[in-house]
Amino acid sequence: MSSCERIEAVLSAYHDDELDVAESTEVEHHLAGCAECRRALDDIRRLVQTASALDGRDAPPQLLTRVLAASLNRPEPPRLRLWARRYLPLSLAGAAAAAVVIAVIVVRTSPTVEQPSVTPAGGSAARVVSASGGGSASGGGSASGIAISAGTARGAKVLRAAAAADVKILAGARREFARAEQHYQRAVRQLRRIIAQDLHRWPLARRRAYLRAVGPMDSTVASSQKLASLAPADPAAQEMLFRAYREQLRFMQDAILGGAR
Amino acid sequence: MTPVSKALGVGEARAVDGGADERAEEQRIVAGCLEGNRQAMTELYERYQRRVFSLVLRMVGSSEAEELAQDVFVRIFRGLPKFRGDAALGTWIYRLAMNVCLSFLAKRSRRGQIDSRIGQSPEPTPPRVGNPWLRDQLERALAELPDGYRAVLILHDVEGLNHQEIAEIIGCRVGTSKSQLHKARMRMRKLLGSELDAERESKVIKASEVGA
Repeated sequence: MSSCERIEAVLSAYHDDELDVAESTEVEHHLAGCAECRRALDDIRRLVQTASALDGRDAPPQLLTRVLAASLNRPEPPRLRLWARRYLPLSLAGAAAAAVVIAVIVVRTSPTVEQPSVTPAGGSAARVVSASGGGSASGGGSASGIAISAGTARGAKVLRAAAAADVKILAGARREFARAEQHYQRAVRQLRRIIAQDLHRWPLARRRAYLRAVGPMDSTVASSQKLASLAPADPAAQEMLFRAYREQLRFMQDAILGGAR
Repeated sequence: MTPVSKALGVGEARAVDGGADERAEEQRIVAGCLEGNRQAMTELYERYQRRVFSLVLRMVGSSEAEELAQDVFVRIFRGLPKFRGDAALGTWIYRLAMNVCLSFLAKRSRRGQIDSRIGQSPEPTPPRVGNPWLRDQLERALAELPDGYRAVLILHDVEGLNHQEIAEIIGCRVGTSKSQLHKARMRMRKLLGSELDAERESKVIKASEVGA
């Protein structure tokens, strides 16, 4: 190693004042007689000065709203073991999403029925799984109960589609996620249709509140979809997306139930 | 504090971690966040949004920065119950942000996608010299560094953290952080060779004009 190479290897540390006295003295002796190494040190100095003067950038103003929407009012789901999270048949969550739709339809079509307190879909699905230790039959069963009491052909159809996904654990996590997402999307579409039909009958204040909130809610879901599409088999990204769907469903459900009052 | 520390980076973080009043204030905010208090969450967000967003932006580029910054903050609020206070809150937040960035970059490179900033021809601006110009060139060159080099260089030279803090954030040894920084600077010197020369020459010309 030439003396220039040896000096260059410690030039960064010399600049940051991290060498001991003997090493620093050696570098200084070399620099006194070597224009090339002086130039290298000068470059490092200007690079560091310029980097330290780079401006910080503020996050876009809408980010706070999205962060709060995604973080607030969301019960922490029970912690599952990693393998369970990875292979959990997420179609269960889809079945529970369908249950939310059915429950809403029941309330909407039978004003005398006491309004059920509908828990976030995935949360309830996860609780069903953790409580029974097993699975898909309980998820389908709870949803079936609602469907029978609803007695609506529309609800039963949604339920059948959701329950069909429960029958067995699909081979790949990726397919599971895609299927669960389809159920969520179907539930969202149905609630959206209901809202579109009813919106003009809602009191003005509630209508305004809904219209104000729906945009940020949709963009939270859209950005979660984008994130999840970057990691289609990553349970964490998918879980984040499903949480966004659950929040969206709950929001729409609240809007419908509130609007019907 | 290193000479490159600045108010935005570590100056602020150390102010937060330094004084007893500040620590108490931070504990109050964290406690509020743990209760799901929107005001406290907003305060924590406001304290760190600039640092987090700047870091994410420089690590992954503008097209993905907003989504990833959102992911970082959601993880911060979800992860706060696990924050034990062993590290400073600022360091913990940097670590979380850097993990999100590095795993995103690893996935992107596995999929063979490239950073949209790389290979873009710079804005057709007239040849200029001086600090603002060099800053723009440096931002562009940063995007071309390997991810590990870029992480260390941003944390040390831009954000003003020391090697001990960087080692905690990245999960490496102090010596590794030092050697990565050296290699990163040398790579930057190579990437910015002509820009650094142009700026040096302009200074020489200016100095000779003043002398004449």
